[in-house]
Amino acid sequence: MISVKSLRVDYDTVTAVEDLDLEVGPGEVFGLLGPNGAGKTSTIKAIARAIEPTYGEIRIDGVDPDVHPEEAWRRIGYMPDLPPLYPDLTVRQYLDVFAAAHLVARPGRSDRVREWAARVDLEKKLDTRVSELSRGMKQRLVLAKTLLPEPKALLLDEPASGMDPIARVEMRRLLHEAAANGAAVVISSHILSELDELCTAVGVMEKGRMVVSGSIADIRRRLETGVRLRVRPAGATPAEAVAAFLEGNPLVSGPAVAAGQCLAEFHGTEDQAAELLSALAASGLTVAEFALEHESLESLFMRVGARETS
Amino acid sequence: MKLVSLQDNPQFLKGFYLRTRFPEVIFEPVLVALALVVFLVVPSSGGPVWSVLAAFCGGVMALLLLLLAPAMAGRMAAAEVREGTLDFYRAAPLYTRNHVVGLIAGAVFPEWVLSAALALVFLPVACAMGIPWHLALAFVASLAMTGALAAAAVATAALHTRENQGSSLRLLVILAVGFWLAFALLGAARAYFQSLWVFMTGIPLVNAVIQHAALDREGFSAGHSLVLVMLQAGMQLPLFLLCWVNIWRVFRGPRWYNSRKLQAVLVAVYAFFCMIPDDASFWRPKSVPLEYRNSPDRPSLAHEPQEAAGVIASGVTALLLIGTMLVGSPETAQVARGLRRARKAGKRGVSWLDDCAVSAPAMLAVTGVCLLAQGALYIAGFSEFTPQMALGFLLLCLNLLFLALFYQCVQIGWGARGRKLFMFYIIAAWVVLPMITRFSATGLLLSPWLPFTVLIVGAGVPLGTDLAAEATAATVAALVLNAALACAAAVVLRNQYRRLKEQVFGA
Repeated sequence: MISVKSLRVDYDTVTAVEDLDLEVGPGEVFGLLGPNGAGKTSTIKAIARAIEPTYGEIRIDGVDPDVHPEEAWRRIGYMPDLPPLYPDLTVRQYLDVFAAAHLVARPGRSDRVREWAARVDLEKKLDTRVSELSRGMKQRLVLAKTLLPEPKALLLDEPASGMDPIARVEMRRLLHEAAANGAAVVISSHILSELDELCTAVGVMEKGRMVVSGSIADIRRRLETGVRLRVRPAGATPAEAVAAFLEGNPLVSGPAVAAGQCLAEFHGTEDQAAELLSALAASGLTVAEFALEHESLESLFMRVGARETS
Repeated sequence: MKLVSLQDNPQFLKGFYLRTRFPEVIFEPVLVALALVVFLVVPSSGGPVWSVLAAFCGGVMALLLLLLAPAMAGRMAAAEVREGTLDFYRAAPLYTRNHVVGLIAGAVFPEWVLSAALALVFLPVACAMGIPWHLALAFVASLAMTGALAAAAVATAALHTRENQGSSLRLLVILAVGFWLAFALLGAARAYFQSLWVFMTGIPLVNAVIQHAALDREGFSAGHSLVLVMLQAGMQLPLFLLCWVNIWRVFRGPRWYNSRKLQAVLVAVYAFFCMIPDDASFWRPKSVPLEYRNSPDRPSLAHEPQEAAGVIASGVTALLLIGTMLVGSPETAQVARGLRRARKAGKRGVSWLDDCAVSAPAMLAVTGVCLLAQGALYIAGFSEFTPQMALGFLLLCLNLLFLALFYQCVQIGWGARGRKLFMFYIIAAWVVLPMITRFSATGLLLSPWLPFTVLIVGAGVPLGTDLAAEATAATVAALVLNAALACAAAVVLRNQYRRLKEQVFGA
């Protein structure tokens, strides 16, 4: 649905995006991660053709935006990072203006406006001026404007910034719904945990390049050197005994005792972890807590970014 | 896709929603009605009531169409830039022309509706006070045309700024000052060179309305009014189209065939067209006195100092070339984008008037237009263009051509950093180095990249108010030096372009 090959975007003397490839199919949600200045916004703008790439090929549902821009834009819903708004319009008027811009037919346009205002929980604010809305409400309003034409390709730049937790949950639901209806979604965010729940695949950008991409599970598998194992003994079982037991296991490395717990690196699967727990119990060591702790996405991506930068 | 109806035009809808809010929507009609009452009730200085009413309607229409409506168009356009909503329209499937129409129409419609109502009062009143119906109608049409041009111009300027709240007001002031400054400057030159440009201001029609009694006696007919309106339309239309294209470009992003370079060539043609002397009285009744002309004391063309024509033409040429150089010299990335588009369209290179094409052909085209226009003015006998002036003019063109090509090389080679280097070069070569050497001949000769050096040193040619050059050895040397520098820059540029092309087409 969204296909990008060898994309490059230049601003004056700065190359914002370089040699970027991206494929997002119908129903997929792709998350773009990276620090400020990594090139996420430029990538999204280039796909939306709000800016023109220097090199590269982009296809939206098979349509080349350079050749048939209007056809491509019929398929695109674009939401920039800072919500552009007309402060003096009401919510109803704002949605009406952009519904017209996306060729939503006049008969039924006002119903559509009302429907989408309700879906982002702004129905009661339909006649409120945009300037009187909170930051999160404004963000939801722009989201409604983006989803209202029911585009096949959704390009969302930091859509959750400023939203409260309830609104975020609602946004996730709406995006899942759009994806379920066959839309391809590209979303950039700094909130990694949010992408974890929302995306079918993610890509990490650093200095204009995509340094790693794939499904989150796949990236974990590729990048994680190990999972941290934490065992808290129960009753009279000393943590040292647990450490001594783990010492002899080939799937465990570096067991150490800290604050009455035993911490180690575990290199096996979840099934193997279950077998290890059984073995611990069979050896007579009582365990109050046995946990496999994955490295957080945040630290994982920070590590990737740092490695690529260095 | 054709134009959508205004009810489906997002820009118009936005304008409509913003401009019909209560109570703002009634401000202007109420103020106009109050002013009308005051005008009619307060005893005038002896004039008949029809004159007062006609003057009031005409004045308020001018105020609405020439001041308030453009201010509103500027405000709306500036808000698009300020709020960052342009990206939304750029990524919307509606054809761009709809945005342009909607932006202007949505911003100015209250003033235009009110003006239309006043015109309905003005026309019968004007007829009642003796103004011929065709002249009254022509006056209204003239105001409407100038109003449309002013609104488009202010909107264009506002869309090209990154300013905030006060931008539209500042822009309006700048434009008004610029307009009247141009009036003053060109008005001063008019004594020497009365040209067609005055018709773009609509003043001949206003003069005709003021002098209607005298004109009527001399047989001023509907045909004459029509010619005046057509001349004004002819002079304003290119400027209106220029504004249209620039607003279109803002909503659309750069697309070729609407390029700045094409505009530069068209502006060059237009600028020289404006300079055609209005000596032919083809539109005037034969026996009509000159009172209603713009300059009753205007001397006849035969006695005008012809050198001034050459100086004005040289100044226009220099401005056009410098303008083309500044707006039409793309950076590496822009050229690469143009080449990418050309490759997609199955072409071997960028169209030479595309924004993304290197500037050499565009500069040559503008230079060619300037030379041709000069030649045409000379052949038609409007301008006594002496060989000395021609030589000075040629030197000016060559020098600016070299500078433009050199600037393009710098842009391609170093981008934004290059622009700064270029400015340093200009300051160093033209100011610092001559100052260090105390403007001595030797010192000036030490500046090898200063193309005028040989000319200044060898011939002592004044290049200020009276551009002319004697055919001395120094002048020939200056000609050769400028031509050689322009050729060298063109060769470097060609190589830079070839490398870029290989990069894009090889990719």
